[in-house]
Amino acid sequence: MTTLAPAAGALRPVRRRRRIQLGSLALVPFALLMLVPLYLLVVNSLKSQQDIVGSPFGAHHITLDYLRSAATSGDYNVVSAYGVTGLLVVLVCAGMVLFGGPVAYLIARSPARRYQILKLCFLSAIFVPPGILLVPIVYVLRNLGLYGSLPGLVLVDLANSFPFAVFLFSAYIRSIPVSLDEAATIDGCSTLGTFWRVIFPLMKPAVATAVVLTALWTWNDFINPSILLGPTSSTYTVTTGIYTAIGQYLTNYTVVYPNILLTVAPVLVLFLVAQRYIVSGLMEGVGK
Amino acid sequence: MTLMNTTPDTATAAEAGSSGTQPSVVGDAPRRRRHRRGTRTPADAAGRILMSWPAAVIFGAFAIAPMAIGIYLSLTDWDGVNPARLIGGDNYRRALGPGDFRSSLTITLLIAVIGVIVQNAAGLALALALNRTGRFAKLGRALFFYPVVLPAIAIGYLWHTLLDYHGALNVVLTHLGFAPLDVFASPTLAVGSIVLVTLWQQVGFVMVLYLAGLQAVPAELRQAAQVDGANKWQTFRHVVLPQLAPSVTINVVLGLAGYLKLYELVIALTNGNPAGRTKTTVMRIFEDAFTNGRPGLAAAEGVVLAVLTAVLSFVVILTRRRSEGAVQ
Repeated sequence: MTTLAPAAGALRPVRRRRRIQLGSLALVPFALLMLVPLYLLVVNSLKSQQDIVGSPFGAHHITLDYLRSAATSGDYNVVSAYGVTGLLVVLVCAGMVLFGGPVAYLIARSPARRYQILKLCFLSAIFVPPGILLVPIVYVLRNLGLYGSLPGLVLVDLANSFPFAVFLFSAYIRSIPVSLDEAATIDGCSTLGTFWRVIFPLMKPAVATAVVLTALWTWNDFINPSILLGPTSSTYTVTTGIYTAIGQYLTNYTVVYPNILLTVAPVLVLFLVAQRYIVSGLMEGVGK
Repeated sequence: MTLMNTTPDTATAAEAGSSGTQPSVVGDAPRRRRHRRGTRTPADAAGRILMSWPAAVIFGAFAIAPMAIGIYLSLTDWDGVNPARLIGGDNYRRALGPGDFRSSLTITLLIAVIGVIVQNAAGLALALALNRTGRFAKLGRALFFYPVVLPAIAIGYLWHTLLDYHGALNVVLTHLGFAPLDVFASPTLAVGSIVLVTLWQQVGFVMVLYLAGLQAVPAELRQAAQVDGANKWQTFRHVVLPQLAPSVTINVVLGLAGYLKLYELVIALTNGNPAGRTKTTVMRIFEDAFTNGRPGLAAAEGVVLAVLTAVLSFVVILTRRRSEGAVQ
């Protein structure tokens, strides 16, 4: 063994390096295909119509003018929609943690039948695509006087966020030792107190994953705001804003490209910052 | 489990789902008794109500109730303004008869079947190529994954401008001496563009699920096959691929469900053109509900789509069960 080990160690790196090079080379054209649309988006956001149509790949006569005018435009401007969408995201995420966390705790820890029925209700919603329910949701919101308002949209998005959050949170809580709960109970903590003071501070990774993914879904969602905010609404999110801003002017590239860039930029930044939460969270949501 | 970034934090977050093997309160007699004692005090009972009611009420009102109301509305002639009147199964007869809704189902299913096959082939190939450590593999995974997080409507508009008659695609084609393509004027090319763009956006997600599956394949199995003289293809075909059966199932189920609710990407990319030939089912449902003033009919179409999604998922899961049996 001792005489063989160095030889094997010396051979292995060489072989592995060569294999990586071959594999990577075959992937290069596909990787480029993934990047080219992003490159064209960035570069053409900085060019005049004539330059875009004439040489879409070129990077001459770069100017920030079109980006600036898209960002300061008076009607349906994506940057001013950042505020509304951001508020929506914050409200939905806060509600999801504030209400979804305690329910997940009861579902994970209590054998009582009512919480297990609640769990089944949350699970059943995973199989019904939320978009299909929009017609009856409009019916419900109309009867509550919430149709066409931001609070109505927040409540529907919040309800949509619960199944994933509760699933993620209760799975995480089950991995926390029950002895912690017992110690807290002996020290006089109520169930509510045990959750917020003892368990919740330990749930940071699960909360981060749920918040990042829910923020992403809420920010990117088009169907709910486009229908629940109503056709005559002056409130618009990033996605309904871009729909109204460029839907009719698809051939005016100096409006289209900067608006798309302003829409995707915040999400790209979030992806770069929170990549690991997004990937591991999506995989967990799928249930492995 | 750690894919893009190898940090201890990811590991804990990822393991949380799987490590539910700790002793639970349920079935643990002495512990349960102690727990029960806590619930007896009125303050604690009030605390529990505070913990469960807000989520239960919001979810009940905006997720559970709409399911029941949707079924009720599908049996009425509700027009969005006047009170709804029960009309029996008329809406379902109308939806399932020959017409715009049925043709939208056909085109959506066609896109779904082609899309799922292409997506899985490409996603599996990428996962096999990028299932290794090192900086380049990590960069590659991020590169193929990033469109997953972008808003579909923005992606639809971006690709519309690229594939448009005056777009970048035709500049390249004419440069190379080919005739320019009018993608959105031909039904075949328009369907092709939807498959291409959904592939571009979703392939990273499919890849990540296959990567997770590949990492779960025991190394001993592969080594055993190699010791027995299997070559690379044989090892993949007879050892790795059967182990990936659960990943295939989940990808096909999620892919079909995703394609069946295709909406804003198509709104932005083809807007149903040419001549409504790429109008998806969800586009059709919303058109009936909000443009044609027939929300009752739209509710029935929604029920049909939900049932179709559920039935397809079940059929896939049941037919895949045999292949998955090999893994256990």
